[in-house]
Amino acid sequence: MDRDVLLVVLTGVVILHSLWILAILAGLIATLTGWLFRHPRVQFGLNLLLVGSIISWLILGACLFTVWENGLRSQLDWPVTSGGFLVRTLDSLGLPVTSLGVSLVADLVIALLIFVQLWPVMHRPHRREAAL
Amino acid sequence: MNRRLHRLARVNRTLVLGALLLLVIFGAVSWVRYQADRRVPPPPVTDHALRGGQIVDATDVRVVIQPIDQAELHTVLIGPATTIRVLVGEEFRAGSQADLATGAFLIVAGEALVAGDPVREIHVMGQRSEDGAE
Repeated sequence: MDRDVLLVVLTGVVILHSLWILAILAGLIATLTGWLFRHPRVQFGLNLLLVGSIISWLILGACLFTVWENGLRSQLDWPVTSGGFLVRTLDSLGLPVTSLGVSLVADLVIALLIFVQLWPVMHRPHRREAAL
Repeated sequence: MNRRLHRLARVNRTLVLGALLLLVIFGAVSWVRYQADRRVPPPPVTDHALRGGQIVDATDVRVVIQPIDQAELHTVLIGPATTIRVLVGEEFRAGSQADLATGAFLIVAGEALVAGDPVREIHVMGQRSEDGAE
């Protein structure tokens, strides 16, 4: 593929990846504040992102965008690191983090999103109790 | 409208439960992979990131690392803006600035490391000026 085309695709992938992460973080705030529960369509979109992320981790062992970005960087003969997008981005912003730390935070965010959404389901009174 | 919202709520509940199930599977798979990784030797040196080596000499300011899975010695020349991250055992040690490699070894200015430390991964961050094997 032409180098310019690769650069454009790489930029697109980086932007998409950033948006994906920002959406998940925004979703966490919306969930913790309770806003998400009043907007089920947005909740549906967020849950699709959640499931997509976990399926990608399961199948590829990493985020789909990270794998895609690393492939493009290889084709451009740029250095590729196994740390991934967040490690590289935070590092370039002067925040040295490890891939283990990023993975732990990502897992924590996903787990929080799941458990906060399940909380009302787990603590909903049974119909018979509610009727009494 | 109300019925549609109810259906959407049910779909959301299913999705969240599915995500929980997938997360549990992912956790189990990661644990198995982690245990398996601990048993196998580090992978050989690649073009983009040195993987596997041993610290030959270390002082407070510089570390010399020799890749172990390669007969020929590997030279990585690094630009001034490069950051080096070294995974020693289970723990990352970060070097803030990399010196140019002089000859056969990768020299990293950073935290003090102990000679003989096994190196599992060396991540070269940023643009390198040159990369090649001698």
